[in-house]
Amino acid sequence: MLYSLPLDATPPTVQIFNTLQNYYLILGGAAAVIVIGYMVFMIAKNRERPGRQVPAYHHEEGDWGNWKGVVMLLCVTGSVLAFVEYETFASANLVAIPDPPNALQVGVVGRQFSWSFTYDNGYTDFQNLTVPLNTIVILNITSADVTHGFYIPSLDVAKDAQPGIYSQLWFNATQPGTFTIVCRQLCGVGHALMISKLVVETTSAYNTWYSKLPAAPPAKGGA
Amino acid sequence: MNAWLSRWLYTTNHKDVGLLYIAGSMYFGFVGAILILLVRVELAIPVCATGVSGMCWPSATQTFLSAASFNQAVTLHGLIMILWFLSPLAIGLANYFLPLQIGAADLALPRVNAFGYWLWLFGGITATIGFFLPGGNTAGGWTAYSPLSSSTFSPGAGPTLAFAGLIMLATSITVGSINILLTVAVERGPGITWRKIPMFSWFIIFTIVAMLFSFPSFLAALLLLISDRVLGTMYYSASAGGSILWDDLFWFFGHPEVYVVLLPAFGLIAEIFPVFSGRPLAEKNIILICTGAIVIPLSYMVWSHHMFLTGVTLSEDEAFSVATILISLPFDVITLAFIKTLTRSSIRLTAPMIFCIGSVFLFIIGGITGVFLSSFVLDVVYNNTYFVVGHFHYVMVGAAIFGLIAGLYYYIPIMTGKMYHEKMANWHFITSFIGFNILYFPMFFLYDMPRRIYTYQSLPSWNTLNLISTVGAFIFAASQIFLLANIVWTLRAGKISPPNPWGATTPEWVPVITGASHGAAASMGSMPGAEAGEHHRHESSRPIWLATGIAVSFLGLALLVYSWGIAVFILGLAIDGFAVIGWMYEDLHETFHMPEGVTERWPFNAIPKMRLGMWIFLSTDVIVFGAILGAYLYIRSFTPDWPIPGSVHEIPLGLANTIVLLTSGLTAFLALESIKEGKQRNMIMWLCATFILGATFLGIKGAEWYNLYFVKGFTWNSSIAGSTYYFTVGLHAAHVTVGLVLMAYLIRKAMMGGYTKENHAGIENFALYWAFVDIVWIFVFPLFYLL
Amino acid sequence: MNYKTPVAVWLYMILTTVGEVALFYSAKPDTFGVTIGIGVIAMINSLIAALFLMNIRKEPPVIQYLMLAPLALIMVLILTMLFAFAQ
Repeated sequence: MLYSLPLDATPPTVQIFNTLQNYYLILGGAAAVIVIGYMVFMIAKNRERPGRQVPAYHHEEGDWGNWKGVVMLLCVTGSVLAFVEYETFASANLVAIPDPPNALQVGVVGRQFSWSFTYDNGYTDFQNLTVPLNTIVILNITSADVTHGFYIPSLDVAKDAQPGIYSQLWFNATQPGTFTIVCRQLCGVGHALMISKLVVETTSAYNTWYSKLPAAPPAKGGA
Repeated sequence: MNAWLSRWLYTTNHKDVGLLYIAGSMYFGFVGAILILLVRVELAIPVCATGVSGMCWPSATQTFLSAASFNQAVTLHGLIMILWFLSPLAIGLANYFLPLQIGAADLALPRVNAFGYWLWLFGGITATIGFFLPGGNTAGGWTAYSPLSSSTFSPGAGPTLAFAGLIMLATSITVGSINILLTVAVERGPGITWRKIPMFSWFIIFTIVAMLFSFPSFLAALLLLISDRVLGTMYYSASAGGSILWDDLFWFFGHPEVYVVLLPAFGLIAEIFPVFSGRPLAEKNIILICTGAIVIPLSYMVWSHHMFLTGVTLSEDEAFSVATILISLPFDVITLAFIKTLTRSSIRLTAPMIFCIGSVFLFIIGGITGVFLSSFVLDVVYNNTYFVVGHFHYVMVGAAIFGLIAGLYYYIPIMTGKMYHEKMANWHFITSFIGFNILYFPMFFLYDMPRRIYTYQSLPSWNTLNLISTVGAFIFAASQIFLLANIVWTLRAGKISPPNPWGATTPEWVPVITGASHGAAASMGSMPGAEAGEHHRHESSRPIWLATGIAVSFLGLALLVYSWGIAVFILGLAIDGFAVIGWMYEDLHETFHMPEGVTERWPFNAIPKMRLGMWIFLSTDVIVFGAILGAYLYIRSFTPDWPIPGSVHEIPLGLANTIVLLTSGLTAFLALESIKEGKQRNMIMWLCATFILGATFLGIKGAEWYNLYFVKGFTWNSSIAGSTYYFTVGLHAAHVTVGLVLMAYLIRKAMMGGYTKENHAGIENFALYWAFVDIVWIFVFPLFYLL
Repeated sequence: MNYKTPVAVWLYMILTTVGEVALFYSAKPDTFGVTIGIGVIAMINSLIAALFLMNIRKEPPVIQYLMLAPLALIMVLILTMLFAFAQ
């Protein structure tokens, strides 16, 4: 079962996340290296040692500070931060729910300590979430008891499941296979074992599977 | 009683209390460290049986800790480290050095300070008792998310005790904040104007302002939680939005708390960097403005970034994401100002300085990863994973603890009068810095591993990184032995320190203020107060008794599941009554001497000390009541079938009671006006009238409750409408009751001639308090009876 | 002693509180206008109590800000909570 290994055809949600993360990683890494490097250089250069002249320092009483420098610093860091924040806003479609006509809607209920998945025909699966390939899937997530965290690592999507609140997430699986679904919000003693499977099948296999589902919904489960 | 014991139990001296805080926080730090070492052992390798398709199915016999123990360990590790180790270590240093830095003789309210300490200590003990009870301690994470923390999903006395301990902590911090703020406002030594306050004290002031309005929100959230657990009200369980209600109230406290932990360390860096760089701090004013004017107000407006995945609207996510990005800007400026202090300098690399450099180094990494987490898109993946764990440990352990340890080394010469072992301190830094990075850096690569899981799927990348992290944890923990050994060595064999070993220029090292005692003179060896001579009696047994009483009554509340719990509860109340009466006795007969002196107090010249204290207290009470009324409004918005107004409550009765309370507001005001003109008899008459009206209010309230509860069956555990009504009105009634107790004291003192035209502060403060209680009712009456 | 101001304030608050109740009985309770009316009366009354019974008008401005700050923060908290799920 795959946890978060690279997929051949990258799903759109992963693409969005990776692109955005790269901006943060590159700019954040560069900032860390520059600032820490400068600090370490200054310490090495200015450390007290025999024979070193202590530099003269001109201190002006009532000096209100180097505001020019601050403004320049704010311009530089501010524009970097504004850029990444802009990219975050531009990537909001990872969390905003699309509304395509042929999307598959599945109800998800978290409970101590398992997930259940309810399909349009009322069938509830307590083991696996089965979805067709290359289709937008919208999950309506809630909880039957305490707060859970629904997370599919290989697709980079997640949403909290809370009692009485229905929240949504979407994804589009682009490779068949079996992936892991975990709970990411501490929900009790069984939290670590609250693991389900995401089964991605080709459209025809999915349709076959779906048509064989029992027509009558099981007595328990559902929202 | 043994002089040594009575000194430490009954002391109200700020230096003694500071040392007690430091010692207590180190004890709790040790407990928290042991807990997390158990956790790291558990996580070192994925212990599991081979399961279906490579899945890891752990069996209970194979794991080092059971799932339940693991959850308790991580939960209490978080609570203890943040609230009983990090903050109190800083508060201990502040207790000791803030009065010295600002030339105050002591804190403004010494007994309240001691009370805060004992309440904090007993709170910590109360919170850990649960480990030894059947059912264990709270196990829902330090964030205690509802409804997992409710009695349905976390039954037993252990969690209740933990939350009771947190209530004691929040109360302690709130009164402590009021006390320190009051000290800074009106007790500064002559010549210490605001511009001359040293940096550490400034950052403590900022810390206090961040605590002042955040802890009351936590207190409100906890009161609701404990009422849910003990009385069976339904704040977090009945309504659909219960989980979000806790999230909001908790994180409204929880995010400013991050700055509460961080800022004292920054204050120490700002103090230590210039001393060891041989030059003044660069951009001091800009640092102050950035922290005071931007970080502190903004710290209250970013909490919702902890809730990106809860399903709140996208626009709210965006707003809080922008606020979070904005709060990183002042920190850029502050960090670079610190680094600028290293330019054109001559740096002495002794222990305090090395630890400060380590702190800034680690803060840069922690801060930049924090920017990652401000993105509500990246948070989809990082939320509740080891990336978050790595980030906040870089800030809280890296920046904060390294800074606080620097402060300990820096101030050891004052606190002990001796010099620590420099070599040992250097080794302490080297081992802990290396251990720290081995421990936490791998966590950034574990950004897809959920936190708080006690076992995990065996994945090659996870296994290695977790093992490395565990090794680092042991190195980091072991390195702290250097610190302990160094403290012991210093006390036993350390060389006597010169008065100012570092060549610092701040007042705690260079006594420039007459009246304030020089730091090094009153070290652990000598009795404080002895050198000043004129202190009459600076010990009081009341604070520790009051705190004991509160702890015992909470113990009783948590043990209400047993029939004898109520006896314990009543015993606690009795101890409290005894302590309060004793406290008032000390005041009536002035057996407790409060140090006072000539002070600098702009812009508070015109306002007496106790009145300012009352105002600060009321401002925190605004948050408590605001949060609870907010909770009511929020729950109503989620509950479709609210009873129609007028169908439950007797509106004429409510109106009558409102009139009674408003009239008592008038009589309280007239009592104050009378004494302002020196008419003592009139004042006593008006006070008695106020007392009678207040008691009438409670009496009518009682009759109303009796009717609602027993006749109409409208109880606090029957519907959410009942829960909100009884809780809010009950909290208000508790305030009225406190007012009645205060009035009894005032009337007694007035009959002894204790108030005159010139000296009537007690009456004035009471009038303020009583008017505030009126104002709360002005909102409660329409909200619960009419709307 | 100046009785006039406190007694006038007291009378005003009593009358407006009676007015609140009258407003409640005058219309269907859940009318939006009634809610607003009662809310406005309560706010004015609390302001008057703060100004004249707590005498905050005579305190230095720093005290006034000290009381306004938590009010502003709590408004931020309550509004955020109420609009968390509003579309």
